Amino acid sequence: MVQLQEIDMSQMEHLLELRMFSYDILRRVFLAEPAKEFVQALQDGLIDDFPFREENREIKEGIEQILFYFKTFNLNQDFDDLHWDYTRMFIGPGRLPAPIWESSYTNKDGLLFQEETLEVRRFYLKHQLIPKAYRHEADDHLGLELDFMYQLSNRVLDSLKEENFAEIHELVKSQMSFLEEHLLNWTPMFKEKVMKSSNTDFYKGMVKILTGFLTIDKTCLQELLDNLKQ
Amino acid sequence: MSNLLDKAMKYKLSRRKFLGLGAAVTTTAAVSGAGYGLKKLSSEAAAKELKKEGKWVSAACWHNCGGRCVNKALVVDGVVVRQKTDDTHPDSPDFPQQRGCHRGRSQRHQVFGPDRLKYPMKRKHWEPGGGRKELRGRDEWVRISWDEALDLVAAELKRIKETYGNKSILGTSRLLNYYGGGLVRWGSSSSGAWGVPLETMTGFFSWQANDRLDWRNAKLIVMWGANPARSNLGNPTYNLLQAKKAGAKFIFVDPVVTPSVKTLADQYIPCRPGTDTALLLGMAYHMIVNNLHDQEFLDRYTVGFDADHMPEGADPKENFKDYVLGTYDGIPKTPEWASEICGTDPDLIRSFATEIATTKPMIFTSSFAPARTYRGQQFCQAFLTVGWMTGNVGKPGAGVWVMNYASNQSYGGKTLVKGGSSGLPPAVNPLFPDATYGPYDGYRWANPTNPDAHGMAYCETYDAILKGEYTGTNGKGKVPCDIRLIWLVRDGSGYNFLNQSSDINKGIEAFRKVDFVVTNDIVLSTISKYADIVLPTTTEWEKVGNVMQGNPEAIIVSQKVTEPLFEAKTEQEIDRELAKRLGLDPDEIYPISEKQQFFNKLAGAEVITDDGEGYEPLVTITEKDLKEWGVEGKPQKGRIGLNELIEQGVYQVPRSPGDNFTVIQGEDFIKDPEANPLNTASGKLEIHCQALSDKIAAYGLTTIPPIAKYEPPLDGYEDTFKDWEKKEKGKYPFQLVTVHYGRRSHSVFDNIPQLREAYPQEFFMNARDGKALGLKDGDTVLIESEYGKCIRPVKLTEAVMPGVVVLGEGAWVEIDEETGIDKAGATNILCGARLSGQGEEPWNTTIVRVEKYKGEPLKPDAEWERRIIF
Repeated sequence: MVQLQEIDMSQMEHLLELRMFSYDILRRVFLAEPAKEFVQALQDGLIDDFPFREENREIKEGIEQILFYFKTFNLNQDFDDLHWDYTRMFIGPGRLPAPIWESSYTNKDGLLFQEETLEVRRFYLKHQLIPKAYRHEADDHLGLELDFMYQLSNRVLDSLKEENFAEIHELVKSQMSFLEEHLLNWTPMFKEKVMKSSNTDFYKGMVKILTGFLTIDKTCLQELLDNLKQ
Repeated sequence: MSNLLDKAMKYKLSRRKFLGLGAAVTTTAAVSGAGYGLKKLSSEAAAKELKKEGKWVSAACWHNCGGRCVNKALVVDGVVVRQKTDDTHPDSPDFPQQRGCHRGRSQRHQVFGPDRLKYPMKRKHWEPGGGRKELRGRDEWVRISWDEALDLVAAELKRIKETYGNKSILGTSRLLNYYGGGLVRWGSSSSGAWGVPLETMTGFFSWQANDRLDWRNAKLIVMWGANPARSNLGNPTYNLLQAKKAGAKFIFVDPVVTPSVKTLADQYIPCRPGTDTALLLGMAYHMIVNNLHDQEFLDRYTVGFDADHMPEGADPKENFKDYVLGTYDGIPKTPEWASEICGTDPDLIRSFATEIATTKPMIFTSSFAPARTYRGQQFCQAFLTVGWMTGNVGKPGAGVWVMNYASNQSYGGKTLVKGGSSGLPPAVNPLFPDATYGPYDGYRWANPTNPDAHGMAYCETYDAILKGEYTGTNGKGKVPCDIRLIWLVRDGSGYNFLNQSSDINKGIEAFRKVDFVVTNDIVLSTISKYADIVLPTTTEWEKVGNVMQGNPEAIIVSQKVTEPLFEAKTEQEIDRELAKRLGLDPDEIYPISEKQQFFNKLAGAEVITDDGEGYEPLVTITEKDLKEWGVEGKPQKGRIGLNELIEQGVYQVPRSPGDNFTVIQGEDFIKDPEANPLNTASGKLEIHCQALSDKIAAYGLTTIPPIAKYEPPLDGYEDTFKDWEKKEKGKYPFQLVTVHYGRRSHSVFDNIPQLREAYPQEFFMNARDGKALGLKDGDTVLIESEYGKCIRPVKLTEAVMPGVVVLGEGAWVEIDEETGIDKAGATNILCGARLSGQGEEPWNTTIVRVEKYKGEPLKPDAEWERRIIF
């Protein structure tokens, strides 16, 4: 029987909410071109809510860089440039300076829809998840991998409310494996490419937050596991 | 321990903001029909997906090399984990496997590359009428939905048609042909000047060759300008090697010691580009004065060789023999005369001429390359004439012909197995009724006298756009035009003409003039880079399946490998959607489904009967098959079951020497020329051919005499001199040859990293020439012609004749907007758009100068930053 050690439930719930919040921000940033309302929300202070800046230097730098970007950012004038930055780096139509799929980094030929993609798909399927545009969009798009983490985080929170600690343990372990085997496997290289090719401090800041948060989330998950003793 | 649980408590979360995010992202996700993110699946459905196992399927190898080989993919749930080629039967020289090349084996790089075109894209500053046209090629792009893209494309097409008429549209496609058609770019790219000479001098007789097994009977095989080891992958080199093993001597004529020379040649004859006619005339002279030619053959089977055998109505003075001897023009075309032009040693010319005249049987074969020259018909005339002078026609191990396309090289004879028709009715372009929808190489469009055909030569396209007029055929003179739309939504791979037709710089200028350029593509090829709207298209791997002809001994059946990637659609789906918006009936344009078309090609496939005299159905089809496929059809009996054929992916007819399928081209004509006349004016092979002269004149571009003469071409060897007499070199002292390059099939595959690494797109130059210019191997050099500039790393070698430089055609032009210099080495930056003959592109007559590049040296292509569009 899995039990919760030493900590109170509200503390755990809070941490889980922070994780969900962080993954929610990140998946929205990377899944598609920016939407005006979302960028407005970030500029209006949402980015300030991003946690763990004191615990992680990359997150701190990333937030500061984005705040700096927002200082002069005018949604009406500058949105197109931001939009183009995403399109150019992650959609095309030219050769992509920073491909946004795991297999572009982990496959020896840098291709999409590869064995590496299948591994990610199998991971999703074990948790009864599948991309909405299954077989058309590659499963290992950063936005989808982050969505996977988001959805599993959500399930952990639900399980906590149900006090199903065995389920929490399983889900946390799964997230840990997914982080180690997938997201952390390639996002540092992705970050380098974005840093080199982005025209905006927005995406430069966001990839810093991304890699910073993924690193710290690994510690979070480890801590949760340590607190969930068999 | 870091104790994040405690530390987390200091980060307060604004619950209102958190919950408010939902709507903000939906705005973007609306672009995609299917939506983004992950969705929930039942555990049963997920378990079923997890159990999917790998399966080998036959995957199309569809690029425009002209050949077809077997390509198989191990597919697990739409993911290709491995590729292989033909292993359906053991390999042997008589019954060879249809093995793929390095490009075919790179198909998965093309299909699954991160640079696939994924969504409909619109140039940011385009608007109906053109918007900021000058930004084409350097504008930003915006992803748009399919609905928006189709609405915009249909509306602009409609506006232009209704305002300016169909003649303001440049392009053709099935849909467009139903919508009134458009102007057609006609001419000849691949086969150069060969089409009309083959038609008029031989009745297409020399387009065909002896069956490949018969090549082993030749004692001598002359390969003129041919490099199958690079230009014709698949089995041609292997088949030729069998002839060599059987004892044939190989002589290659080429400005370059090519990989084929290294593989097959016993002797190499150097000859400068565009001067082959002079070499041939020098050989003819030697044969005539030494009485080495086959007079008996010439008298009986040809017209025009000498004054006694002229065709009706021809001036007896205008015979070939007297021209060679210089009887009337005072210039005997001696080997010394030839050598000054072609660079071949006079003694070598003599010994080569003696050898071809006295070795029997001999195969005398040319590629298309020497005819891709200014007024290239003259080479074709000379080549056929000199070949015929040896009498090697219609006998085993003998022949005079031009090698066929790509993998068909070395395959003559009958088609042993062929696919059926798709069942789609033809879609004639009302503005160009001579050719229905399909490739428009010159030899297919052989009717310049049709007054209903509207369009211009490939090389006149950009002038037509920029100056508003083009040369009308058959004496029509200049025809005014007002081209507003370039339409490239159509099927076919590699119709990337902005990159692949002469004078890219002028092309870009022309593209920046029109109202609208629309393409469909699988990646952002050059022509799409300069377009306004680009529609993502499926590769063959994402289509329902196809039957493809390779060499005449095999057909290849391909299957669907994966679902359409991202938002790609097939051309037929795009056409159907556009048709609806144009008020046309999609079911009239495509009355049958793509699946039914695939089925029809299989059901209609035929295989030669064992006696070699007729054809019978190839595929057995049962009621059960029809039901499973859900198609219209009738059960039939054939050689192989439908599913078995699809699984096998290839049907090849086994061969053995002396079998019933062996063909000796022209055997009947040689046995009895009166009873079996050729489809020429005289019924014979025409050394003097008035029809050729007349037909070329009818195109209105350049003229040629009815017999083979050497007239210095524009931008040929003579033009590299400021003073020919003193042999003082001019502004552009080098002759450029543009060759098929290993990295690509024309422009296809130029984006594939592993091929870029294997083939660096180097600029080849003779080592002594390089030394004289102070160049070292690997230096970045600036290559400049009257038409443009590019930079490339130089490769110094003795494998190239002095004065000759070589660059592979097809690299995707990459123009530095500041300097105007192309960094990719696209040959059409250097080759000017010159009008010649039947509209052939005269690529191999191009002159350039070379110097060490003073700017930043180029990094190897494989290390280039990926193409970014600013």
